[in-house]
Amino acid sequence: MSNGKDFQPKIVAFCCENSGWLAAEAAARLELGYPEKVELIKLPCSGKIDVLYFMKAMEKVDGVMILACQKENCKFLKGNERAKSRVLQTQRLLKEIGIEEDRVTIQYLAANMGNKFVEIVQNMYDKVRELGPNPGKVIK
Amino acid sequence: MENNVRVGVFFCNCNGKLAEKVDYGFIVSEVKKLPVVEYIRESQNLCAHLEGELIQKEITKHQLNRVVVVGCAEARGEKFFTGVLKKAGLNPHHFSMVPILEECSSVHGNGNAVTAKALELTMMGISRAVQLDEVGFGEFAVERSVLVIGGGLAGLETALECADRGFKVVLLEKDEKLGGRLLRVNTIFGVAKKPADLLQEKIKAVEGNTNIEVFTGSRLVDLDGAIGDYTAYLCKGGTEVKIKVGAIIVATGVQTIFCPVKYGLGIADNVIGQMKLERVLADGKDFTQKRISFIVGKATEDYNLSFIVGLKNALLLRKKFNATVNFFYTNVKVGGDNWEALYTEARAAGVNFFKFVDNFEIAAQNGEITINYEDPFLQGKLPGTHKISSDYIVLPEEIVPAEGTEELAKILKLELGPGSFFGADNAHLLPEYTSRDGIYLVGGCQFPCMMSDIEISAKTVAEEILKKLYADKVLVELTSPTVDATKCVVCLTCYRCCPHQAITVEHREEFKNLYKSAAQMNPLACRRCGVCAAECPGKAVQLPDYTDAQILAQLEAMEG
Repeated sequence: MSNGKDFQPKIVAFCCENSGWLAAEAAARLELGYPEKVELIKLPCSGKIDVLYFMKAMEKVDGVMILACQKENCKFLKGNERAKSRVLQTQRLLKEIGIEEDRVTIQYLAANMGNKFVEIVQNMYDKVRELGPNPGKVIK
Repeated sequence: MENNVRVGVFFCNCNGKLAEKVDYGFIVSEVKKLPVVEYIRESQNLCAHLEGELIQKEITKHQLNRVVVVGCAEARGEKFFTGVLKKAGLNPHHFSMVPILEECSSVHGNGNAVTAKALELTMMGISRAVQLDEVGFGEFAVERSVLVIGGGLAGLETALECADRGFKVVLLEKDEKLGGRLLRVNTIFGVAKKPADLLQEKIKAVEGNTNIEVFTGSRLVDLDGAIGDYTAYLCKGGTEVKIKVGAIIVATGVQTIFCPVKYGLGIADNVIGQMKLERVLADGKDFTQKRISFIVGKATEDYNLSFIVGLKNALLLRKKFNATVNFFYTNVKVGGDNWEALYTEARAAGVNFFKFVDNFEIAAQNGEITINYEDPFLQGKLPGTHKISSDYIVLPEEIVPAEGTEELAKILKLELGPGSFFGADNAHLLPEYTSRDGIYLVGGCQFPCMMSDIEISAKTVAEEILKKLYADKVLVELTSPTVDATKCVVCLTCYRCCPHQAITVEHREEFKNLYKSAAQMNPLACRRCGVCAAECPGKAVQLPDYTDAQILAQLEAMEG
């Protein structure tokens, strides 16, 4: 695997349908661009995220993130806090098997933040690109 | 999931917007290779007028039982397609949407990478569609009655609104008579009637209404159940009364705390709180030619009620008694109906407004109060400290939630928001809503508010309850999570983490596990956040449309 300049990481972003997903739509309306190899998966609330989803995604991609509502502003009270603890749990597991924790993050944003969405995605993309390919990828 | 899955994939070009960047020909040829896909069609615009009927015919002709639409993610479009599915006799949940417009065309440039991503998204959408389950409807018997806690203006108003809509209402008041705090108020801004008369009218209407039952000297001691089926335990004079209600409205209001020490003053006859001023004005005390200073700020910065009440009384004293009125404030807060006009009117009538920031001292001596103050705006022209003497000084009380709010919150299983008021500071919720369906807030218990807000809230809440409990039996889509009893070990994780108290543990013979029990989600109370499904350690809980199988299928279909 090359860690050269042409390395294009693949990222999965799990999106809360009250914030991240709508922010992605807002970004589309504003026609703001972000890297192609970013896939979005819709969830009803960031609290629906499961360590299993993160780990399953990490078998294939280089970085995963969850986009949640702003702190203390979850439609379901504490979904985003639960998501945060899932992220920490996943990070612990990844560390144990020798994978960089930074490949999993949680980011908070609101439904109208199209610009912020693109910024978050781009930052994550750049960070994972620096980290290089995910050593834990399952090669079939 | 049944074995005979026949997927129909419909590509929408959104009037040429999509094909510009995405090579549909290639995607179609790839999708055709999938054995589950029975039918593929490309269309210029799937939302067009006659497309609905066409899709419906195609579904019947090719016996499709899953529909995937590749196009945009517009919510309007989604409703349109689920409507088409319903007409074709399919379950509307057998539908998957792939938002190529939002995720590819609008945000990426040209090139093979875009087509590759579009193909991947389509594949993910089809994999998800294969895993989709049916979601049916259930009929539930509900109690068409409402419990209103608090017999103040908010409670009376809401009780009347609910009774108007055909609900049986139980009105609970902890004191011996109805009326609440408004009885102690002299005038209401923007209302011509005297508050006492207004309350008498409402109380008469409530007492004359056959749909409303009034419990004075009572309080709520315990609560069971969920929306449509609450069991409330009331305590009336030492005896417990058990009633069944469908919804609960909290209208407990506020209380005020007078604390002149915060302003460096002690308790004295000429130091008056705003509520006391209302009372002495109602009693007819004479303020002719007196010098009166109002101070609003410091402790009451969170809400604008104190400012408006101060403004109203300042104008009244100026006009009625020709008093010299000085109004000291930190910020002018007049964001509301006609409030700015009130401020302008007060200025024009001769109320003196002084802004203060830090250098502000109040000294009381021999029945006269002197205010030493520096004007932040006139530092150049009038520097130094100015002395203003007054006969009376009016201070705002702190407005805090009514007594017993914390205990009530515990009984109702609600979390308190900022300032320990019931109102949640949440952009996703209306101020009347709580985290539990069937429990609503009206009036000052949300946050200090004006009378016009109460009228609006009362109507909102009554309509909301009517929407939820529209008949004795209501039809609800069973989108709440389902529990696989064979996997449930009754660990109560979901019960504890549900933010809407929608989960109960039930014991039934049909549950095939050691305890013959399993957690059950109430479809009326559930708001389908999926937290229980995520937290369940045994993966017994699955949220329809977002089951583990569906999400993992999407990840599986993704290319590495």
